[in-house]
Amino acid sequence: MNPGRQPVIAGIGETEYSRESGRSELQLAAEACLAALRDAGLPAARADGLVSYTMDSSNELELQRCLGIPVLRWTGRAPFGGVGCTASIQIAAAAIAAGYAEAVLVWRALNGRSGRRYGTPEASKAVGSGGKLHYAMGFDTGAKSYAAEIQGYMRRHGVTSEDLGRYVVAARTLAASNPRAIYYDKPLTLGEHQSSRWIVEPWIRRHDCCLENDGGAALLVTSAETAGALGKPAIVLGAAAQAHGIGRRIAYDVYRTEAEIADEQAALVTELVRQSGLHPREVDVALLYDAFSPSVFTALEEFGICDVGEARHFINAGETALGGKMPVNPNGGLIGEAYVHGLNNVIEAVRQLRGSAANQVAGAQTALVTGGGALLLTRS
Amino acid sequence: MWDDGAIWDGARAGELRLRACRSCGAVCHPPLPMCPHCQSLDWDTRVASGRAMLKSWLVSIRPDQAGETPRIVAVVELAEGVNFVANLIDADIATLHEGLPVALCFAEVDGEWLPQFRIGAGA
Repeated sequence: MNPGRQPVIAGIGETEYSRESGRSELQLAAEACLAALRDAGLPAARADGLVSYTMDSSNELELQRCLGIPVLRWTGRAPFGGVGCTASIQIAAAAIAAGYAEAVLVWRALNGRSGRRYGTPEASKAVGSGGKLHYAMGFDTGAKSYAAEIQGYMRRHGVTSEDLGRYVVAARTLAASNPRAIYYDKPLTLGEHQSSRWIVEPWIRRHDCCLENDGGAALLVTSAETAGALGKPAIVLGAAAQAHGIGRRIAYDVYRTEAEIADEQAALVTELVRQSGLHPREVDVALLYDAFSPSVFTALEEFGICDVGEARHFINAGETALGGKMPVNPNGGLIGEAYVHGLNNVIEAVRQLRGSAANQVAGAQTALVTGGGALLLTRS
Repeated sequence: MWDDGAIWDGARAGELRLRACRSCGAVCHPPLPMCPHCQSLDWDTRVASGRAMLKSWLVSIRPDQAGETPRIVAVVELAEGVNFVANLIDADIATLHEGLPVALCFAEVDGEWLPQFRIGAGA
């Protein structure tokens, strides 16, 4: 690739995160995109791409009109839910590398609490696979699906609800000092975690689940050349990868073996290393997709940050805290900051590498972001 | 007919009818229109023996139907080698473990006949 065409993230933008935005999802999308453009110092007239998730309700052409983008040259949608937080960036980056577009906005905006509430069967049916074979059995939410998928791991490695609770308490402690977080100034104790109700007995408690909230998030992906002309340091997209194995399902992923999942994750890590020369375990900070707390445990192991079966010890020893071996989700993650389908975690990675995060990892130069696929970001 | 039609027709007739490939013999569940092993479109029906093993389980509460008795959702591995999602009836969640033998039965839920399982080695 011509080094000038290297994809970079030059702008980030968010609305506030709340339980009731009081405005349309299109407005949230437009506000977040405008904030990302202003952050980059790029006039809307020079934006020429819009990428989101298939699940997003806003329409590219209406968003284009809101923002005043004269000619839209690139559109794309990442499939499913959380996969979109990495795949949407990859779709934008591909357009930049190929020269199909010069400034692509990636957005996700939802009224996940005041609108169609995110944890309900209705929302799940929009993303899950299998249809009546699952819903007729009462197997009909993301939390139930995830509980079925993860319990083998928890049994095999002796991960208890208290182990999950210790991660959640740490995440909520970080969120409590992040003014952007829904749970700002609202830390949680282990006792409160353990007495919270079962969402899916006996695996997932209320506080193991990500937030249901309203809000919009956006990033501006452009070329190193264009970012350089803007005169601001941009964050380099070192790698952007997906690696879906043949047996995979998005939600209701209960028809394959743990060995197949391990192979799939190994393929993803191999692809990240091939693209960037950097192994995910070598980064300075990790943003691990945490729709439910156990996914942090498996991600730590799948990305080689700790050994298989060791995540609960790694977390209990404080290694995922700010001063630990691998600081994880310093914004509080999707459990503590907000659930914008993971795109807020990509924004947090950018903030960490800019040195402007609320809970800053000192001197962070490289970051991993996971969610379906994965991204490796580096300071320019 | 939809790809899962045989499952629902079979349940009304008291059988679990799986989709099996006429070309390579592989059982495909959840049913797909094309065989993932040999890309054949030619399907046969294989009636499941009803023997299965418990793999995972959870209590399903439907938040929109608070008065409803919670159901146990179970993922079982059928003797035919594929996983199947159904309810486990007459079971105590505290006594379940991976590998527990379970047997196929049928029950009418919300006006629809569904494949279900109960603890035991079955026929």
